Amino acid sequence: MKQTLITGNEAAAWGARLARPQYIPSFPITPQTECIETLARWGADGGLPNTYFDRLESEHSVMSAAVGAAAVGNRVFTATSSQGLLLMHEVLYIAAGMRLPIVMATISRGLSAPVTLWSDHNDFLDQRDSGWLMFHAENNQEVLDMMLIAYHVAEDNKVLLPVMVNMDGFVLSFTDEPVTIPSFEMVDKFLPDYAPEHTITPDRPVTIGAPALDEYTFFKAQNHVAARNALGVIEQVQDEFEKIFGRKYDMVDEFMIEDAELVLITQGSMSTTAKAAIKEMRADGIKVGLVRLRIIRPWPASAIKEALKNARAIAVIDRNVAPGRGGIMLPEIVETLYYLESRPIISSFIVGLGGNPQTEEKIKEITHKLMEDLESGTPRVEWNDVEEL
Amino acid sequence: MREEELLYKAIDGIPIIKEPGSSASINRGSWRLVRPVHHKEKCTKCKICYAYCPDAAIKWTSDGPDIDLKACKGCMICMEECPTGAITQEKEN
Repeated sequence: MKQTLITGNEAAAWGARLARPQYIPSFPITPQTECIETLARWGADGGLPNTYFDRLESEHSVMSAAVGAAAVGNRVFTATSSQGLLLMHEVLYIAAGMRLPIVMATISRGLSAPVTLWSDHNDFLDQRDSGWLMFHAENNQEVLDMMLIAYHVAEDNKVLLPVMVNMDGFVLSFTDEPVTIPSFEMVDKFLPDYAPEHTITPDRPVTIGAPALDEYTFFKAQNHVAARNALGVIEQVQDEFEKIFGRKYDMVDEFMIEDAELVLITQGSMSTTAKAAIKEMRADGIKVGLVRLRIIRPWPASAIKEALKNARAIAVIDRNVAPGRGGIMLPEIVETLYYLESRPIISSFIVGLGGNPQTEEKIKEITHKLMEDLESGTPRVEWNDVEEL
Repeated sequence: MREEELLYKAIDGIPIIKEPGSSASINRGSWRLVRPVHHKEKCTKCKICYAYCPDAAIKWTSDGPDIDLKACKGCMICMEECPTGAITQEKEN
């Protein structure tokens, strides 16, 4: 195993390459382009001997081609961002409904209008009801590892659902970080060959995903049960992963929460910054910890409940917004904690839209505001980074 | 049914039709409001109705068109296109 400096885009490309996909449909978009460019370069140099690298005319076509290729029994990888992900939206439901274990890297970028190139999580979270499983990485190593875990979970017969692996644009996608790239031998030991039971072949022609009348709810329920099954499968696959690669992942990432009265809930790359800030605040005697959401679908309710059962005040830090509602993860957390015996104060912070950097100072400000909320007993909804014009 | 009682049906829980062409056996014309009626005496066997039917519901026989009412949706394009008025429509009950 070698450790090397690579960007998040390259980490996703490496994750794909190690999984030996048979088909990669592609369309470029900032900040994802480097990911498929890397794969295209490898393909041209003979590094992807059994992969058909395809260039299509839009993201809608990319996901449609991915569905077709997966339906005939191929392991498929693709990647996109932002507006491209939205253009795929319609076909995402079809991939999930047809139960095709496609794995896609999404590189988060805020949505127009106004135009932004930089990261927030609205593009990713807009897909949360599509039936896909949704993983969100904190750093480049986790991007690569999640890719491998994603294929293993997606192709499990108890699941058979597509998976999105998300990373924050620019902060991870274009930043070099030290990443351990496992060998093909190790990955082959971890990830079995893809041998789907339900495929379209000339020998055994079938129709997948045709109109259903009375059975419609049954199939939707099966999609839900499969996603619920994924909770157990993810745990099992992450254990296997640890045995082979030595890196341990839990359903939620907990940081200094054992005795924490204040807990920050984060997603993605800002968690690293928040952890650094928490270490400094701990040195000042502030009892603060962090829970990072890394599996968004299926929703790991019991792991979240367990992690937050002793918290007295919680800041849900949303790098996204549902206008007219607020932070997207806030209601999910509130519902999850509703039946706790003693409910914490839950404040909402909407931060980092359009890539606005979340510094340690900003995390400390959030923590101090949360402390005030705990004292006053009144939760707040706070918008960071709003500039009055 | 309570959510906990939903069982995983593996491959049977995936929307797959395993027998190709199985829809030929079901009535696909159940929502038809009007039905085409062919009048043999006016028919010149020009095959225009056969060519224009968007659902391939018309089979061609030596006696002219044979309209398959399990496939016909009642769009009445055949009536519209027939140059001799050999197809008319009747209301479905």
